[in-house]
This record gives sequence, C-alpha cells and structure tokens, in this order.
Amino acid sequence: MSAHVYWAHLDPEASWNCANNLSLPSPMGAKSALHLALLDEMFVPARRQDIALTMLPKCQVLHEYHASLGGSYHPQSVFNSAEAWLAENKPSWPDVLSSIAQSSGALGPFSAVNELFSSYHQAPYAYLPNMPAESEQVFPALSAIQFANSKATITQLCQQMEIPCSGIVIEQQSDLYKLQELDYPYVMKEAFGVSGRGAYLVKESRITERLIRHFSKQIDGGKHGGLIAQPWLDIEIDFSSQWHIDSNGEVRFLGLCQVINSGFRFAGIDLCCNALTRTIEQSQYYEQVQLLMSALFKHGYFGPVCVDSALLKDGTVYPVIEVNARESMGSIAMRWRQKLSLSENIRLRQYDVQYQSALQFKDILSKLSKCGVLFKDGSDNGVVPLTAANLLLPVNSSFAKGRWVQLECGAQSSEYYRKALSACLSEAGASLL
Amino acid sequence: MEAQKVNYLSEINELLCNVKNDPSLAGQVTEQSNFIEDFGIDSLDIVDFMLELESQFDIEVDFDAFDFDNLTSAKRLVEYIRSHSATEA
Repeated sequence: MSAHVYWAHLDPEASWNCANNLSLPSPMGAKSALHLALLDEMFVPARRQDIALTMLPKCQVLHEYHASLGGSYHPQSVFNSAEAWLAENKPSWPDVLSSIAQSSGALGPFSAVNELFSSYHQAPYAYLPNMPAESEQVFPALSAIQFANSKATITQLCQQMEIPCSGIVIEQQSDLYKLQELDYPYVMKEAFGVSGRGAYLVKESRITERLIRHFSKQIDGGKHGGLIAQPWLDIEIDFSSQWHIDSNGEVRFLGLCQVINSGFRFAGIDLCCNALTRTIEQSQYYEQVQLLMSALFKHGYFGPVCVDSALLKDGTVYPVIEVNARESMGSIAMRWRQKLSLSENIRLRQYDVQYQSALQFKDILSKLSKCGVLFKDGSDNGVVPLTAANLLLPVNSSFAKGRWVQLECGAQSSEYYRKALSACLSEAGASLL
Repeated sequence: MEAQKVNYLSEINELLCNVKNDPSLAGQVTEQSNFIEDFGIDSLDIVDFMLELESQFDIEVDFDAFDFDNLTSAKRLVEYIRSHSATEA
C-alpha cells in the first residue's frame, strides 16, 4: 500500500457551519486560539513510510523522542518556520486549501502542498471544503459531511430511527416557544458547536426570554435553523466510541474511551475502561450506533466518526449526545497507543500553558526525565508529550498561551503527573493554567 | 464622572469573579484590562459574562453587531455600556 499523507485541522466545524444558521450570543470577530492551528502534530501517521504534514516543522527534539519510542514517520510542513507562518498572517488549513483552489494549485504559494495531495492518498483529521485529491481518491460531498456533523440533523435522524436522543430542533420563529416549555437547566447548542464553544447552559427563564429575543432578531434578519436544545443529562460517565465507515458502506468499530470533561470543556481521555465496556455491552448501544452509521452512509457520508455518549447516574446508557464525523481526541489517543505499542492503561490529558518566552523543549524533556516522569522505551510508567510547536512561538506580548497534550502510562494518577509537569514548566518559566 | 467610571469597573469586576467563579480576581480589573488575555475569559464564559452585563447595567446588546474588541479593553467596555445605558443616554 502506498504512503499516506496525514494532516489535521482541529477546528473543522467552523468550515462546515452555514452563515445563515442561528447562533448563540457571541461577539463578532472572536478568533480561534492561535495554538489550535499548531496542535496538528498530535495526529500521528500509522506507518513508518507515511507522511505527517503539519503547518509548522515538527520540533526535532520531540520527533527524535517519539522515534526513540518506536514512533517513526516522515514529518513535512507547510511552512519552514514559525516566523514564515506568522509573516503570512497565520493561515489555517482552510486558508491553504482555498488558496490552492483559487490558484489552480500548480503555481500558487502552496504548490508543494498541492503536489503532495496529488501524489499521495490523504488521511485528513476531518474533511474540509476545497480538498484537492489524487485521481483515485473520493471524498464525501460537503452536504453529506454537514449532515453527519450537524447536531440538528443528527437529533432529527435519531428520533426518526427511535434511537434515544432527546432534544428539540429550533428551525424558525414558531419553534422558539418550545424553549419556554423546557425544564431547567437545559443546554442550547449550535449545530456545529464543539467542546469549549457553541454551547450554553440555560438555568432560568430570564435567560430563555433573552435568548428568544436574540434568536427572533436573527430570524428577522434572515437566519434560520442550526440550533438544538437538549435536556440536562445526569451523567455518571461521558464516553465516546470511534468508528469508520468505509467507502463501500462497511462499518467498523474501532474502540471506546472514557471522556473527561470539565463542564463543556474537554480535559482528557481514558482508554482503559473495562467496567464501562461491560456495562455498554449489556445495552443495545452497539446495535443502535451501527444503525446510525448505516444511515449516515445512506446520506452520503463515509470516513471517520466519533459518537459522544454517556452512562447516566441511573445506569442508563444514553447512546447519542452528538456525532462528530471526523477523527477525535479519542482516536488520536488510540493511534498513539498503537503507534508506540503502549499498554491498555493509557490516558490523554491536555492543559493550557502560559509562557513568557518561547520554551526550550529540550530543557522540558530533560526536566521531565530528571524527575522520573518521562516515559522511556521499555518502561511501564511515565508521560509522553505530544505537542510542542504551539509552545515554541516567538511572543510579542508579555505572555503567550499554548496547550500541552500528553499521554500518561502506568498506575500513577493524572494529578501526580500534572504536579510533576507543573513543577518542570515552572522551572522553565511557564505555568499551567 | 471619574467616580462613576470606577463604579463601572468595580461592578464589572464583581461580575467577572462570579462568571469565573474565582474570588481572587477581586480588584484586578483596571481600565487597561483585557478580559480575554488577562482573565482567560473564553468563548463559553463570554455568553455568561455578556448576559450578566446586560442584566447588571440594564442594557441589551446586539450580539450580531457587538465588536469582540470591546472585550480587549475594560475602558472600551465601560464606554460601550455607558453609550448603551438608558440612564446615560
């Protein structure tokens, strides 16, 4: 099998959203966090001969460390330095793809990227508009991608198929009164909202009335659809299942993981969840989600899918909270576990980091190693850092923020590893937020 | 006028403590404060923060016209509130 080129845009929902959709109150001009564009290095290729195409060059120290654990592949980058990327006004993958499409690829500023895409089979984190492809590769239509990812269409689809998935879809003015009939609290979600954005917990009628005025104004301005209201679920454990729908419609289950959330914010993944797996096996979960996957294929979607689900406090398995028809943090953790041949007991954790000047990654690895928490080949315990590029940017303000993502192996607790990381970063002039 | 501005900042600071559920932020808001960078107000907090501002100052924000940059300076935010407040108009 020929080499694949892996690339990741971790904010695909913004590209799928329809400008005409209703949206929660949010100021104009809010930008995605800078570091989001540089977390693409987490998306690891499966095989040694595969290529990881990242926005910036992968930190050499981190790459050598991963290679020492058996995680080899060919890194390539769109830009040859952070300075070059910043000088071009920090383009993201949609900007790159749009530029290629507008310049017909061959002569534009991203002709080398276009050449790669024309020569290799692509394995993207998520399908985006304007993706060029080699002649044999076919991607789902944008409308099918939007259908599979919209919380509104998934809610309606599940309800038609009698798969438990509570919620009401707000399409037009006459739907707004339904919000007044909901019990409190409930959750308003945008069709293409993601963890950390596009969701709001409504706790009282005063806020419902304010939201109705906001949505009414948007509807008067010509917007419609794209919102759901879900009941507040009394959740014991959040979990997600990873699937792949092949282009011939075959559905493959890839794995299950526990998801650690803090409110609406994603905090981590636990891949070892045997008790949870046994509980789910006793429910109709797999049958229900298989049906849903088949329905997505009938609507034209194929590719990676992550289904967010929950075990409720009363013991009920709630199969579909939302669907992310793309790769996910769960699949990233699974890919690294396979790539590095790690044991089952793996966790992934992410932390926001504040730093005053670009960090020296070699120093951080050295500090982690010195305090005995860096995972090394042949050991059973320790952390494997996955990201560096977003912490190495030259900063022009007094502080910069980035994100640290790590795998945790072995029996030590996440809190133990967090404290060790915090101490090491502190010595390097950075702090966990 | 100056005392009134101080009150705006003080009330905004109190709202910020509530939204972030962090009493240690008390007294931290100055005219130069950037709510996004200095206090880590993220996209989830913004909705709460803005709706509480509306309630506290009896204004109604047009979110589809509200400039994000108003949150990058407390001085700008106070000016926005003052210009949209019925008692100031």
